[in-house]
Amino acid sequence: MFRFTSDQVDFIKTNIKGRYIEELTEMVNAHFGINLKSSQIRAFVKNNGLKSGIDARIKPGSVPPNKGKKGLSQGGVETQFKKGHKPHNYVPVGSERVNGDDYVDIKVADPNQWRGKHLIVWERHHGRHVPKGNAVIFGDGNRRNFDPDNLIMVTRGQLAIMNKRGLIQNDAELTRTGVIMADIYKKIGERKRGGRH
Amino acid sequence: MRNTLGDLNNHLFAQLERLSDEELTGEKLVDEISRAKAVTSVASQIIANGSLVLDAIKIADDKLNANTTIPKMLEG
Repeated sequence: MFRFTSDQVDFIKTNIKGRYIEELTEMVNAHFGINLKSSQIRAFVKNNGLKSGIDARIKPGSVPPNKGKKGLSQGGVETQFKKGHKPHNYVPVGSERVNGDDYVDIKVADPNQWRGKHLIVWERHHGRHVPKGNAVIFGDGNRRNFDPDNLIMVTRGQLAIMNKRGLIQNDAELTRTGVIMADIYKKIGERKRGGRH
Repeated sequence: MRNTLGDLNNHLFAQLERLSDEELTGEKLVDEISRAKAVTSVASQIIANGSLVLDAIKIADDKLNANTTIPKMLEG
């Protein structure tokens, strides 16, 4: 570790005004015949709360150093994609995939619009959209069974109750009964709270 | 005998209707709520049975072991 002598401390304190650290470092090294790095001087200055008094703020009207250098390239140009190329993993609209939650998705639009296949099948079969706040579930719990008979639309409220009470069975008809039971549970709660419905 | 799943659904719908009756208040409402709870608990047992029977049939269908026998109780 380097220790500053009191002479050096005085020298730095008297000469710091109006000088940058690099300049100050050279002066100190030359004056005392030592070889300090500018980072050491900077640390000393910071630790002792000394100020050079230089106003280094950017002044109004100054010209930015990168003015006129739009699209500055830092290399790697030859490995960049050319315009009009498609990624190697591009798939056309209508493709299917299994998403991270194990549901089958269908691509509905470029570049990356996907939608649950069960929603699309349900809508095609019933000729209407799945309303907001509703979900389509698989009656037998099998996320690969897209038989329209197996797809049941429930409200999110019903779904919450069914999940909590374990009402989704391994058969679509049993699950449909579960939906009615969810309705009863919901109604019990409403009547208990009184009047609200 | 009225013991199909459709009959169970009808029972449940009837229960839902009784429970939704706005005229119902006070003690009668409490009674109806406890009845609804009883009905749903029975119904959940019934569908649990149903799913058990289904599972039993599935196992019997693709049995690897020819000696598998299904208990009489579980024969759909």
